[in-house]
Amino acid sequence: MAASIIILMLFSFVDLILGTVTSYPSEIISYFINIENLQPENLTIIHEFKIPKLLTAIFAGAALSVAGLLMQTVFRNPLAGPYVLGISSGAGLGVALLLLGSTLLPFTTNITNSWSIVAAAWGGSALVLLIIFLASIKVKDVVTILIIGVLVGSAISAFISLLQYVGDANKLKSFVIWTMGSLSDVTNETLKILIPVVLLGLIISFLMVRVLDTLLLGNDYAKSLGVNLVVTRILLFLSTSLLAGTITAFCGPIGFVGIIVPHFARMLFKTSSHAILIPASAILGAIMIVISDIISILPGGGAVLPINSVTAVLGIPILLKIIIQKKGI
Amino acid sequence: MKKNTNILEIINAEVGYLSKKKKNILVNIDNVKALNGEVISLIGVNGAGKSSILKSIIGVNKFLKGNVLIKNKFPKEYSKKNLAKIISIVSTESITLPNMTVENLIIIGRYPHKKAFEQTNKKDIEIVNNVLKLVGLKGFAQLKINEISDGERQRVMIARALAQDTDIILLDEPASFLDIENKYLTYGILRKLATEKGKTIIFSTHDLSIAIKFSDKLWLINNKLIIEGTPEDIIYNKVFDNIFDKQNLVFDNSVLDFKLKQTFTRKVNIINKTNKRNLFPLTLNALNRNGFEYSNTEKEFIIELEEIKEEFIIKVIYKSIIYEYNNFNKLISGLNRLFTTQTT
Repeated sequence: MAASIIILMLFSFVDLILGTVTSYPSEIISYFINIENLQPENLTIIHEFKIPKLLTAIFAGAALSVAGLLMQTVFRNPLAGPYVLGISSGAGLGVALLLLGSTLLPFTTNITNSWSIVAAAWGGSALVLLIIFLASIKVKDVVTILIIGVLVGSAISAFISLLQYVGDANKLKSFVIWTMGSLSDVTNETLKILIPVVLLGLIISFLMVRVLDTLLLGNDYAKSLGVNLVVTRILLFLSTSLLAGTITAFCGPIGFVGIIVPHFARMLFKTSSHAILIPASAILGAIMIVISDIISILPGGGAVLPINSVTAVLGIPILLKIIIQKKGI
Repeated sequence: MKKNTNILEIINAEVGYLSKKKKNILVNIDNVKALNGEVISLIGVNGAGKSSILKSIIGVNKFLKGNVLIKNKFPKEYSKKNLAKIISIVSTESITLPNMTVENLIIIGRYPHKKAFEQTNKKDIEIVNNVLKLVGLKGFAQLKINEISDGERQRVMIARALAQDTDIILLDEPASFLDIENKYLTYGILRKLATEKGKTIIFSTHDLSIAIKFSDKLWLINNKLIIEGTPEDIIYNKVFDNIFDKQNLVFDNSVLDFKLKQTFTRKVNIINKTNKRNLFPLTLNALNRNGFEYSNTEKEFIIELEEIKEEFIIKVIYKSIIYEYNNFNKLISGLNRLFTTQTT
């Protein structure tokens, strides 16, 4: 675990050096040790752009990976991820309604700053989660809930396609860019919301490590051990929405990290105990997104690859390996 | 441990399931009791409702009518966690997660004894090692759950229930998929837990001979009712004789198991002159299979078992002619020859 933290710090350091504007390693060290030595313009670049992006990467990685771990345990399915409950499509619906839906209105609106996108994405994923919550109180079988999540997601995607079809071309481009995911729209101001909410989600998950372990044996065993399944499910869905919903709202949907990282954590630490898997997934997830970010800025010359493409290229081969080897959770 | 303390009782209950709001009753339970330290087997044919009864007792399913009393209280009078400190279950579900160790799995059984976010401590590890010792798997703690054999995994599941530290352990078909050695090992462990640790063990099985050998009491499901009793009393009262009548099965008191109802073509007397008592049932088995019925009054057809200078001799005396064989294979082919030539 200590080793993974050191690896995370190393990659973070590299990430701070690279970027559309490259910094010298000495400048990064000065930022942390002796801030007066920095040139004001370098300070601005590091403090206003690089640090928020790095923190976003770290918290996004941790949040998505832990959310993915929770969902894999709840659904006892190695291919479940943070988005199985339809959180990303819910967020997409909110953003699509905001950016594209105005065409459907008789009057024009101009509320497309970054805060309103965040609010729309949150609202959208909260709406989907509410549906899943209500279903999970009525429906006992987790697989049925999984199917409900997938179906709700598909219905929403269809509706989004409709919005895209009627939407204004410029706004359509903003929406498509949102779906590609981005770490750099987050500022120090928005981090003041993102970090506490993600921390809250992580704390709720960490308080539930023992309950999560019982869920590995299935619902009947969990019930026989005295677990309140309805309360557990609601708490787990709540922390998933805090984790994945928030990151999706701020950065757009970032794929694959949440599915793959929990498998890494299990393989590396050779355990099924959530007391270890939750911190391990958080750190490994942070490493994965920081690496993805480094790769995305590698082309240099001001070009930045969409983060979602990088995580997909990194993630799909590993996911294929998991499927072919039929690894469980 | 005090025996004869009433630890679990089901009075006037119905077990089954609801489909389209219609009751489908599988079993009507008039009154059954489990005492402290007792091993009880719940027997019945497939689909009779054995699993349903166990699931209703543990609270995964609901009783259609009535309820169970655990230590003279209804389950809902306990908190969920306190109930889980009294009663545990080993289900038929096989757990094979690739990264779960034996220790990971057993510690899950500690759930009701710990606060939700309490760390695993030395005491838990000690409990894991103790329960592994009880099921004969010392040193297995760090092995992966999917790298051990089925029999070992089943004993790990029992160890998990032991780590839960409950007075009552329910087991659903605990050995149905195991080979004979692991089957006997598993039931031997259950028996020992009852006598040495005072645990009340209730297991479901369709294996009657296992039930008769290992349990103090049977809960026998027959015609949607439960008959309760000591195995020997149930056999003495010829309860089994009336159960499988339609299926042409008959309970054989000499081997304490069912056998196919058979029509015999001939009667034979068997006289064992050796001092090895097991030779009699062995011979009877070979003869029964080939259509001969034992009768101790038969005079014309006698089989004598002898040992002369440590050599085994089977002597067939048929209509005063003596045939001798030195093993059962030769005996059977000899008898076949004798009676086919007679009929043709």
